Parts: sequence; C-alpha cells; structure tokens
Amino acid sequence: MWRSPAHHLYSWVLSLETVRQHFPRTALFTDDEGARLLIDQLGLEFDEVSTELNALAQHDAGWWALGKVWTYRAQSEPFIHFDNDAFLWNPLPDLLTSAPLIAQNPDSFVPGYSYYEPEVLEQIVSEGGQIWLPAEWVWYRSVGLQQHGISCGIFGGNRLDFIQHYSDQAIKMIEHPANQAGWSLMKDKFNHNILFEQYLLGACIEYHQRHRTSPFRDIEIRYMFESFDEAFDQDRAEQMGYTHLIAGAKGNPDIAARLEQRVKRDYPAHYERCLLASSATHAAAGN
Amino acid sequence: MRAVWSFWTKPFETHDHKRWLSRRQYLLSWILSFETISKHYPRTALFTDDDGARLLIDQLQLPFVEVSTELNSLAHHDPGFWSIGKLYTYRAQKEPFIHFDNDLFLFNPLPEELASAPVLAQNPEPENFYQPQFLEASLSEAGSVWLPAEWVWYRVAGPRKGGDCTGIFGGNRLDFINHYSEQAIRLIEHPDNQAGWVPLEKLAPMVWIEQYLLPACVEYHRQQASSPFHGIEIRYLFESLTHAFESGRAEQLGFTHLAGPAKLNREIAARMEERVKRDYPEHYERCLMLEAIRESAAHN
Repeated sequence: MWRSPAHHLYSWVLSLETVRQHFPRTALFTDDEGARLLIDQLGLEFDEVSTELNALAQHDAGWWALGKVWTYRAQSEPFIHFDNDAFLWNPLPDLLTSAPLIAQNPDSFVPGYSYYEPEVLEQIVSEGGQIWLPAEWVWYRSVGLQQHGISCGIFGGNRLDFIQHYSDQAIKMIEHPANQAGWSLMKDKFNHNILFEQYLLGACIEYHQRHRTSPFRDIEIRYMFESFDEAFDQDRAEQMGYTHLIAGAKGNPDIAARLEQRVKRDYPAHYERCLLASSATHAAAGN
Repeated sequence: MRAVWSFWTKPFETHDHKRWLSRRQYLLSWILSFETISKHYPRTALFTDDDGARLLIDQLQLPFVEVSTELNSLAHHDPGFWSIGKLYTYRAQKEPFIHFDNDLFLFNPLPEELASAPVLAQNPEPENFYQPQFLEASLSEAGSVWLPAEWVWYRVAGPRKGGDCTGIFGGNRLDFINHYSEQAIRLIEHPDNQAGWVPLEKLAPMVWIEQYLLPACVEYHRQQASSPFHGIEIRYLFESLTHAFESGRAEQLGFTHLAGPAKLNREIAARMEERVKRDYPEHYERCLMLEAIRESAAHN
C-alpha cells in the first residue's frame, strides 16, 4: 500500500505530530512489536502506550481493521481515534469534539454497485454452513433504508456506552464460532474490513435511533464532512485542515515525496530514525 | 410409499377453523382427504396430539394404520406457529413418505417419478408471494436474531427467489428432509428469535419458513460440493403455479387442493359435502352427530 516501509513510518510521525498540536493527550494502542517500532525505535512521544493488541496475536492478519475496533472498545474516556494516514493541521471545531459520536464522513451506496459488499460477505460466510450476524446488520440490510457506511479516518466521541456496544458487535462478528468456517473460505478479506467497521457502525446508528426502547435511541453522529465527495474536495479538506491518505494515495509518488519532504524538514530527528528503522527492518528481512 | 397427515389442534381451535366455512366442512375435508388418498397409499399415518386423536380416531373413526401423538410436545408452543406441527411431522419420519394437507384430495395415484423422488413438493411459487426481508427485519427488531445459513445464502445468491408450495411434500431423502425441517424448527424456536416473534403476526411468516426455506435448502446444498446433500433433487407435481391452476392439468392428475379462499367457497363446500355424503355415508353421519353434540354442549 505504501510507497516504501519508510513512508509508512513518515506517516506515523506526521500523524502524531500534527494531531498532538491540538490534542496534547495522546495514546497508542498496539502490540509488543508495534511498541518496539514506534516507541523504542522511532521515539514517538505518546503520553500513554498500551500493548492490549497482543490479544490479537492469534487472529487472522487479514482483519486489519480489527485492531482499530479493539482499540475503540478499550476506551474508558471520551476519545478520537486517528488513522496513522490522517493528518490534522487545524484543531477540530468544538461542535465535533463535543459530539456523542464523531466520524470523517458518511458513505452512501447502492448494494451491488459499491466497494461495500455486505451481500458478498453474507454469501461467502453462509457457504461455511452457519452464520451469525448482529441484529443491527440484519435489520439494516432488510428494512429498506438508504444504505451507508461511515468513513472512520477519524472516529470517536463521548458516548462510550454506544461505542462499546458497536465495537462489541463488530468483534463478535469476527470471532463468533458460527462464522469461522465461512471466514476460512474468504480468500481476500482486505475489502471486507470496512463492513464490520464502517457498515456496521452505520447500521448500529440507524437501528438504535429508530428503536424507542434502545438505551441508544438518542444517539447522534457528527461528521467532519457531510459526504464522500466533500471529504475529497481539496478546498473543503484544506478549510478543515485535514489530510487522509486513503487507499491509492499511499502509493502516489508525488504525495509520497511531499510526505517525505515534510517530515525531513519539520521533524529531522524522527526522519533519521525512520530511515534507520526501515533499513534495519529491510536488512532483517533480507537475512 | 407411506401417506402421512398431521393435525396440531391448538392452532385449529384458536383460529384456523375460521379459514373454513364451518367446522363441519373441516371434518368433511379430513374424511375426503383420508379416503381418497388411502385408496392409492394404504400405509397411512396420522401425527397429532391427544385432542386430535380423540377427534379424528375415536370420534370420526378414520382408520389410519398408524397414529402418533408426538405433537403433544407442542402443548406449550404459541398456536400462531400454526405450521410447526407439519415441520415436527416431517422431522419425525423414519421412512420415505408423502405428507398431505387435509385440504388436499387425490383421485388418482401420483405419477411414479414423484413417488420415487429424493424430495417432492406441489409446485414452485413466484418471488412476489414471499417477503423474507420482512421476517428478517421483524425478528431483528428485538436485538438478536438467528437465521439459517441456507436462508441467508438464498436471499443473496439463490438462482431463484420464490418458494415451494407444500400441499404435498415428502420424498426418499430423509436425511435432507430431517435437516431442512430441523433448520425451519430452529428458526422458530431459537432463543435469539424469541423476543422478535412476540409482537409478530405469524400467519404469513409461517408460510415463508416452511415454503421459502425449502428451496433455499435445496439450492444451497445442491451447489455445495462438500455438503452431504450435494446434488439433491426436488421434483414437483406441477411445474409452476400457472400449471397448478390449469384445471385440465389438475383434473388429469386427479388432484384437488382447497388452498386459501377455496375453503370459504360455498359451491365447493356443497360439492364436497355431497361427495362425502354419497361415498362415505357412515363417516358423514358421524360428522353430523359430532357437530350436533358440540353445538348442544355449547348451548348448555
């Protein structure tokens, strides 16, 4: 995905350093290897480091978003999670930081014509002979509402009870015994990570807002951008002071060069450590 | 081939009798169904509960070869689950069988290719008869839901979208029939679905569970190379709904199914009564006597 291993590290530097200008209390949730790389080798100055993701040692690495959802569930006070490919040049408006839920943007889609493919996931998993799906997922898939996921380049909020429920449902979907045979049939899980993270989030919000007896019936989400198109409108992103290097942007040579120059100029010590760490990793891989 | 009927009395007493012009018509249909079908399939069996055995065996004296009161186990089920008695009966079979609804009369034997079928049903039905998404949305309203893998798969990947009418249903592949009926019963009884069932009007959903899940299971296992039911085949008495309603075809087969509103048609009811009175006068007299006793008891 990244132009080089070093570019992955540059993005960590730039993400932490730009975000911590506006959010001085920072935390990293990782595993032992991640802590060794980002803390010991790169010297990134997080206020708090948890190696809670060691719990995922036996999980399929194809579930790349599972570490994020695990981290959402682990939070015990209001938070905003930033992807390490998201950079924040301006502070977020109070309206967002005070929100029950905050996310990057809603992603509307039509099933069968989108990179959100809940129907493909259902087909593959059910071919394993059993399937378990969260009630919110089943309801949202069948009730006839406009379908949307929620882009989680940033995600968090103040309603930790809702966030824990949603992330519990997402984790249960991955870990449920009924789904294991089906997951093993899923050759490429990469594109399906957005379903348990981003589609299920949309489903949980829609479901609980429409259920009068739900403890989350008043749940509200506020977005940085009101749509996918707005999130990728350069003027609007500049106005918000937000950059998110999604998907193909990570491999773009021009963007990669700008990322490297920025880190080299603004964080020269970190830049040197990135080079050292990536070459050490490269050498270790070659031996 | 064994001919099997089922009668769970609880839904009949609470609401199903309203689907008939009168209770007498209901009893007449039992006589005509049993008598016409047992001519071609003399090995007959009734699966019912104690009240059903009392009515059909002790009082109406229908001479079933075998009677099981296995449906006593449904004593605490919501009668709204009206077709679960059929599903329990399918699951209980230990040898090849054909289950007949009691509103179904057979004046000729079924074609041989049907009696030898792995699985058989009356006819495929079109997509617009079924609303699986309604059931999914309703059950999940309560916060948890369990669906069979076959159901989920058929909804997104099935080669067709309709169900199968089970006025007649059965076959020789008891292992498959057992699996299908087990999945249907589980959809009704699964703990995750109980809260969702409570507020739900169940009349149509019970049709979907029996008749939509059947082709879902057939199509799912037919294409699954690793399934013990891989390649399972279903044969139909009629190729389509249109085919079933062509009177020429039904007459040629000697097949009558008083489906849905036909049970309330006065002309059909009169013809059925005349037929029973003429061909089975003793049963007819017992039927009249039973109704007279019931009415007299109701007035006292």
